[in-house]
Amino acid sequence: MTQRDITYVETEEPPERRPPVIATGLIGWLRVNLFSNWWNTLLTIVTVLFIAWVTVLLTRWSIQQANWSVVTNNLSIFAVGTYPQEQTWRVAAATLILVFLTGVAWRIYGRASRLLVILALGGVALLFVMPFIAATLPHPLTFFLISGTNTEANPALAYATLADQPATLTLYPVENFADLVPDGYVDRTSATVAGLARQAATVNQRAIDEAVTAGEVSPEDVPPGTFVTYTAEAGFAVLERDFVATVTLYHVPYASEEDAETGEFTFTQEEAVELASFNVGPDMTPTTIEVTFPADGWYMIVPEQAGEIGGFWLQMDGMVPMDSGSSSVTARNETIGSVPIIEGQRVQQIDIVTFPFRGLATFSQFFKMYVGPLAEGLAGLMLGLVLATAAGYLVGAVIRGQPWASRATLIGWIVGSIGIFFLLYGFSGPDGALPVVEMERWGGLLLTLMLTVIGIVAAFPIGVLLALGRRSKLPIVSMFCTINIEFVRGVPLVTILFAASILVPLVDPRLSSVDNVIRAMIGIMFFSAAYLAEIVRGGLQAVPVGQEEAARAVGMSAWQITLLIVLPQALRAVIPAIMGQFVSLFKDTSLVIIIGLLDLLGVARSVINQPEYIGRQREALLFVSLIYFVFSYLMSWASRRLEVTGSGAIRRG
Amino acid sequence: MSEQRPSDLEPATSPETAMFDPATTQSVPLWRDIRVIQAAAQIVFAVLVIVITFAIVNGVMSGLESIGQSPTFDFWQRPLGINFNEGPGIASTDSTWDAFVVGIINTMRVVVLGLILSTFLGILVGVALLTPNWLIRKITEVYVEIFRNTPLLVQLIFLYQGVFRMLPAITNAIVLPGPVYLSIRGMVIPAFIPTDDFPVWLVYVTVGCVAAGLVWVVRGRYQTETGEPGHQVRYALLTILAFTLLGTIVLGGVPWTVEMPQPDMRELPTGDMVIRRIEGGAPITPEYAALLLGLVLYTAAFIGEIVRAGIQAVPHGQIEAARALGLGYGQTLQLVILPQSLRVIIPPLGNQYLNLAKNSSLAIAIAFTDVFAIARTIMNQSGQTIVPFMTVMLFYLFLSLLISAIMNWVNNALKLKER
Repeated sequence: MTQRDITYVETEEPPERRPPVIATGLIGWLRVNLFSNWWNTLLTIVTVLFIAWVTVLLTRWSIQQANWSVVTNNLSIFAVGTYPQEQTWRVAAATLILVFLTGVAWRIYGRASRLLVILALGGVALLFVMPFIAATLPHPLTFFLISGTNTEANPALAYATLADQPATLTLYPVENFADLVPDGYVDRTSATVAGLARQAATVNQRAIDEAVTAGEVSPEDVPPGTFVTYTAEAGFAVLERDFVATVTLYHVPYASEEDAETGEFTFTQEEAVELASFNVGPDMTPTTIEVTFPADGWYMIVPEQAGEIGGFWLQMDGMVPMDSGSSSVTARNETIGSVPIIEGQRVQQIDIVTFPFRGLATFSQFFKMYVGPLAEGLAGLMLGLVLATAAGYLVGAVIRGQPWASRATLIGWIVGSIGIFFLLYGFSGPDGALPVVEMERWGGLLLTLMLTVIGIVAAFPIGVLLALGRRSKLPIVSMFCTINIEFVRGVPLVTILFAASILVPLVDPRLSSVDNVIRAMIGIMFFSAAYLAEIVRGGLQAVPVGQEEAARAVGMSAWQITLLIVLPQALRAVIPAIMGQFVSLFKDTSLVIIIGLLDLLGVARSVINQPEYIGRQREALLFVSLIYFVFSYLMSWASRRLEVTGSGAIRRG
Repeated sequence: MSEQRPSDLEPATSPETAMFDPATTQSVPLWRDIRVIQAAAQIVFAVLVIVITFAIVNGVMSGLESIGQSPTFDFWQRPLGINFNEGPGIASTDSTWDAFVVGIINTMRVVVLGLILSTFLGILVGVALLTPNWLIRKITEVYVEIFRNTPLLVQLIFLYQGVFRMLPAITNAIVLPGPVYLSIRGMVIPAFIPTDDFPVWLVYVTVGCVAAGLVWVVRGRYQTETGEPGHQVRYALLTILAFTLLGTIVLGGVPWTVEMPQPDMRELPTGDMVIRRIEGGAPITPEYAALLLGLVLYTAAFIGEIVRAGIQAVPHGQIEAARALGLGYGQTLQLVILPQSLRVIIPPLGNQYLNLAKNSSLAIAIAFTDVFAIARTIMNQSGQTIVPFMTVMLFYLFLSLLISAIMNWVNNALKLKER
């Protein structure tokens, strides 16, 4: 046997191989999650483009085109509906109590994450900073068209302001009606007139262009000038601008003691004090005056005009349209006085109803008009909420660990809930600290939440009874409960609400005096009880039979077994499901608008039916959706947390 | 039932206890006998229920009588005197009952199409929620969260008032490929008009489906016996296709025509050409479009979550085992994942179907004349409250029961057959 040399030494480098693809880090993550193969890569690119497109469209719409004044002017209506304005502190107090109790429970049963605390504090700080930023930004300008196309005289305008406010008024001629209507607070009528004039100018220009194209006239023949008309029969006509206007600014002090007392004052134009007068003469150069309003009070802008052809934009810098909300009007009537009346007619006011913002807003204008006021309206409330939560959390931290802490919290909730109800409803006693606010006046988010809470809390005992009844061994009871549950679950909530609203008064005439709100509550209660019954039944089925058998073995009665052994475990098991039902009921309460109640959605519908907010349904409905979303998302989140922490689990150990 | 035999709850009457002290069983007094107590309780309960029901019914009847509206049925035959622009047109001389039937048809138009579309969209959403692509998954999650956490009514009103009622006037309708014309008056889509041959063609297709079923069984048996792949799906689909083609050839072409919407243009003084009206095609009212779209988007978000949960409920070991056996992706899906996940999916899916059917009654908020809206019109017109209301309740109950029955049947068919 010959020995063979089997030693082998590789003398050459092995061929280079590609390094393995990175599967960690950002690039690895991108590769695995977004670009794993060509199909995913394609999907990712298409989705990114789609998201970018939607984001750009939405941002552009919500900043430039949307008019969020429907939201910022009606915040309190969205919150409490027609709850009396001077009593809204009660709603705020009730909210704070509720939030305080939540804070206590939070610390006792769980704990807040640091991220949440930072987010809450940062959010509140932002809310407080934003109005200051908004204050530094300029307001959009206010515009009014004084034009010769108006056959009637242009109306006088009234404006209320405080002393020492500066304003700059500019009068500039309309060079060409094909020009755009300026972006800013523009008088509704002015915008319409300018729009029509622009349309006519476009038609005219097209006629000229067509004539030129058809060779009927040569381009040189087109006369220079602003207002040139052309028809085939008559040829060209140049309209000379002959319109001249003088604008006079008057201060209108209260005419007499009597006027000041009644709050209404009538006067003739001669009684007003002339502050400034300026005009654009036939030479058509823009003129500007700067004024500082000498005293608190009403000021009037009176245009006087001559001629027919042409027009002027009156641009008012520093004269922001007044708020038309009822509370602002009341405040204005008290501090400054009510609108002046000339010859029995109220002077047209420069307010947001007649001077809505139109055109495309810049980001600065968007911030100034909507973000600032919204932050201002929410900042105080949010600070209160955060402070109340923190206070509750601290109290929770102190009493946590005490053997009575859990029980004390429960009692606190019960007492607090009853207290909140009486705080909101009031007492019918003679003393006037908490006058009764009828439920019919509750509205907005307050009503929505109230209906939801009542719908769960009041329906709960009925639901448990129905569930026990359905599982009962007594056939008649079980059949009745089953039919009841299945009937209610088989028909839409709308029909139940409708029955509660229309049919209940028929049962007994005395019931017809019951508030529509309470009738709706009863309907919702019946509806919710049936669904809760099914949830509780699920919980009852989940309790092991051994529990009942063991209880019987130690000699407990049927009542004791149900109340002390089965129900506590069953209810504990269905806490997450009940939270889910709470969320779904919260959304379902919006159906009460069909029987005419003004809940959150109902007030949104009534607001967008007001003439000044016509065409603003998207803004109002989006805002309402956002509120619904925030609340129901928070509740679902809490319910998921409960599920994860095992608060709803049955102890099987 | 249980009151006939000694209850388990009462040890005193059970045979085991009786052995210890036979005398006590004899001497249980009547008022301590569980059977007597139960029977008495039931009787008391039944009497209570009957008395309360009677009081309510009596109250309603006398209340109605006092305002001169005793329930009758003859108003069904009287003409309603109102036309609806939705659904099959009826004359104002047609009876109230005919109007009610129009309402039922309108509701069913929404419900049936809504069920089909939301199922398809829901499955798509469920699959998208499980895709490995992070971006698609997240964007679908956002969709699901938004639609699940806002009320359907808000979505419907937004779709109707904020989208469909804000579309441009008919003069500058938006034209989508199809062509589909979108304007404030709704949509006009190409109309599908079956010819007289259509029923005959349908017979061919039906025969094809039956034959496909046979082929399926035969190929399945072949696969079981020989172990060779039977290609059931392929052969069954081919059979249906063959019969459909046969029918089309025999009848000489497809038995329908598609009518395209034709815009009728006119010229404005400015020289722009605008649409005066649209002739032909199938018009869809904005109310119907908003309601259907709203219901489908809302329900699909829920169905998507259900599908996701159902597929995730299949243990991963099942899929690995299927791979180990050499099943392909399609086979794994068809034979392993779907049968198991469908068992989890069907019961909650049935609940969503029920919800969709009931939610269709929200039509009243956006002026769609469904059965509930028409019932309200009938109540206003005839002055009758109880009878139309009860009829509409019964209709919804019937619809719910029908959907439950179908879903129960499907569930039973798919249920794990245990020994």
